[in-house]
Amino acid sequence: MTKLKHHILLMITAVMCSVVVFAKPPPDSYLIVVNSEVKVESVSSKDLRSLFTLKRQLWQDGTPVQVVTLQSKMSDHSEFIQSVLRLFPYQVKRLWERQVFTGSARRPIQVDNYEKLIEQVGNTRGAIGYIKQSQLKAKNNGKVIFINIH
Amino acid sequence: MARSFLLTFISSFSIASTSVLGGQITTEGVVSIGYLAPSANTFVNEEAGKDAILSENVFRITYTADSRVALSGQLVYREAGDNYENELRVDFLQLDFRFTWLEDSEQTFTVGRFKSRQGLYNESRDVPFTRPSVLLPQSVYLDTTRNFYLSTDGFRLQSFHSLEESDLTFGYSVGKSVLDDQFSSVTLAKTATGDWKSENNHYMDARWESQNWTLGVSFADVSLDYQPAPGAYIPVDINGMTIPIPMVYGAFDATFQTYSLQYRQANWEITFEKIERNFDTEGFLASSNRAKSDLDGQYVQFRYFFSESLTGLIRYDVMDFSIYQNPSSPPLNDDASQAKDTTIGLLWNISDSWQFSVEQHFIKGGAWIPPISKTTVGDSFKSNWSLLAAQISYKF
Repeated sequence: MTKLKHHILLMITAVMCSVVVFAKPPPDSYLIVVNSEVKVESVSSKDLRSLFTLKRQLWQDGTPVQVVTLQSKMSDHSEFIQSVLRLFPYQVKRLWERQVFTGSARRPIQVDNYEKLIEQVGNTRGAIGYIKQSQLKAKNNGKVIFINIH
Repeated sequence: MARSFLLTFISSFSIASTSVLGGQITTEGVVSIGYLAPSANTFVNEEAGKDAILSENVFRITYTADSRVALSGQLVYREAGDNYENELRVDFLQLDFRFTWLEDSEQTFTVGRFKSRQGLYNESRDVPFTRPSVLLPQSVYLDTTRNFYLSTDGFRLQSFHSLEESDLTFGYSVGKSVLDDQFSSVTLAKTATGDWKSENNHYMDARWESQNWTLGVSFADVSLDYQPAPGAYIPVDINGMTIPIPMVYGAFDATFQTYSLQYRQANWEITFEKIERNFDTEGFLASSNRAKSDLDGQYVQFRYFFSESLTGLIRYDVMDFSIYQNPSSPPLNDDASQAKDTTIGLLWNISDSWQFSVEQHFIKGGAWIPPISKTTVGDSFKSNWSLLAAQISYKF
């Protein structure tokens, strides 16, 4: 009886704390930056979520994916995760740690600004990153392509 | 000695990436030091109430070939009191082959030693940066038997599927459990020395994850054989007298079912997990001896993110051990068979590389205390006890 009571109490507590509404801003202010050797023409939010959470490791042609992002503490990084991936920044950080320390994925490369991000993506085979459309003035080294999110 | 060697070895590295033979080698790791201070009992050390240094050190190296193949290995050194084996361990050493058989999916075939998937935290439980607290909820992630379920030698097939607003991962694996030398002392008794052998065990797991929800389920079907060493025995209390009962060959079949539910918002998350472990044992004390037992548990945990760096935790955790269908077994008393733990804790992410965690456990009952199959508790046992745990960790 005591055991049953504990089960019921724990379940009720879990369910009662689970009723919340959330908003999803449209993913329209970012472009995806991809190494020019990657054969990809379009990406969806769904694709990006699986790539940036390190759950998918391969491009269609079998090239290993290398994720490149801004530093976790930078506001554009958090904004990209929330508005495009539709995830919480702490959730993504936690997924990265789990994937890396179970041998399931390579850790993303994190850089300080968009110029370094473009340079890193251009110099890394299979690399993918993001850039805010308003920051497109950052130099393109000719080794990357920009893709709209559909 | 081993710890000094490991710390010296890994401190010469930092998160690094090097090109070799057309592929990429990446290395990184974690060093941590902590403190476990129980107010009573022998959960941490053989001496009741004695505190212990907690040290967890991890070093990972991965080689990703310029193709669908990756080779990863991880060494772990963990020290947490004398009830646990303090040795350098190969945590995993696995070869992954990745394929895409279906649209919006990716399949991985893994061979070698890989992490055992159970619940939300087991596969990375030795890495402080992946845990919500210094000690995981013991009802589901019992430290006393932790090494039994850390890694598997065999193969695994995993399939990941990307859905519209969520994703689904499921896996199946077959292999032998990696057992350590202290498995007898944490399950039977310190004097029940002998050799354990794992059969080929079967594991299945599935996890569905969206922005707000994680739902998970994992099953394990495990069989182990025990061959006693000469002179091995279990001390049994009969009418106030301690009688040594010699050990004989034994075997157990067990099934584990773990159910996980997590809901999250930007500033908080709530987690509920439940485990049912069913054991069917034969032998050990007498060749005709058969027993069935259950070791069940569940917890509910609430975390609040005060800021990006500071997280508060409150958790209520319940564990029950019961033996039945064995008239020869003495009845379990509540102190030996149950544990209820209320935990409050704080986790401070000082930077991307540093983390500090502190928590206080208020515990009633002794079900966590090794050996798990005990029927009574010793004279020094205190039913109400507490445990303070603190840990600082650095990722490199």
